[in-house]
Amino acid sequence: MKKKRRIKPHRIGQIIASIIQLGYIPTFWTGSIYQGVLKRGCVPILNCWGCPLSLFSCPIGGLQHFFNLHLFPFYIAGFFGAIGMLVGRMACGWLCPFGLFQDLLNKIKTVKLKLPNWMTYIKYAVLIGVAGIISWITLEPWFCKLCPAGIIEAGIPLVLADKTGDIRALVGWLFWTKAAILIGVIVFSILIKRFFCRVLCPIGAIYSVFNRFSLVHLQINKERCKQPNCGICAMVCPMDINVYDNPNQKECIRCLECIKKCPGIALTVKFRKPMPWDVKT
Amino acid sequence: MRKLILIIIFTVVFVAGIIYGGMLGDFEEIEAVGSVMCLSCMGLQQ
Repeated sequence: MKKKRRIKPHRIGQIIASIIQLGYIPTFWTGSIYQGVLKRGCVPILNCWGCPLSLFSCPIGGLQHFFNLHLFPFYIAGFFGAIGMLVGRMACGWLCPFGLFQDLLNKIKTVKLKLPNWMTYIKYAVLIGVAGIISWITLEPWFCKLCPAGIIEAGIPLVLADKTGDIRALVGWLFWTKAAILIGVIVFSILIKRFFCRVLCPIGAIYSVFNRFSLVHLQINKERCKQPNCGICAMVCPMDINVYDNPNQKECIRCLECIKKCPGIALTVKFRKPMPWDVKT
Repeated sequence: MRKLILIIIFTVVFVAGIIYGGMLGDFEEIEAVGSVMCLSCMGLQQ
């Protein structure tokens, strides 16, 4: 009998969140971007606010905007901090449309590669260097200019839908640079799980700092492991982390797939209160 | 328990940051900049 395939809970979250975040349908007949009070709110993930379908603002775009004005971003810093303290990197796993895009790309059956650990530190350079220092000095949002989410959510659809040629006239070196970055991200996402999130995403870099301290976190009870490190948790992990060694590594996006698949029920979600079956390891 | 209290304190500080930013006009600023079609975000130049 064929095994019934069930859609993963975090995948449902990603789909619903993508529909809500990119839900400004009137843009198809008005041709204008959403302008309203919802734009005051940032979504806790990467979502191009230049996209005509976007109902909310992008926090990393907002962060750079305040840097461009040489102001401290109290709202954005508080927003990132509060989300990070409560759930760590969970938003990356449950809400991000670009994460969903990469997850689907990685389902393409081909040879898979492991990402060297040192490459996961590049995103901190992107955050501090590109979204921080360069934006502050040049007064331009350079991460937005290079972000592949902007071209896939907005640039390419607008150029393809352009009937008058006005938009196509604006295609230049920046468009092709972004397109090249997008192609690179697509190719590497097919080969490597969540390549962009692990190597380039500045939002992931911010949340990753909070992963060790956040209210929601994972706990492994090594005594409940049916056989020490059977490897199933690491195998199902979309971020390729070694869950047995440390389930709260900076790359964990709290998708909870490892908990669902663990044969020994050794993994649990914790809210900083010990559960009755928890044994200190 | 101590960790939980620290998490609550830090979360309150961050939420206070959001509120303080709101008082300084950060929400309106984000709304204003987010309501303009950002051509460079889409890879388009004028």
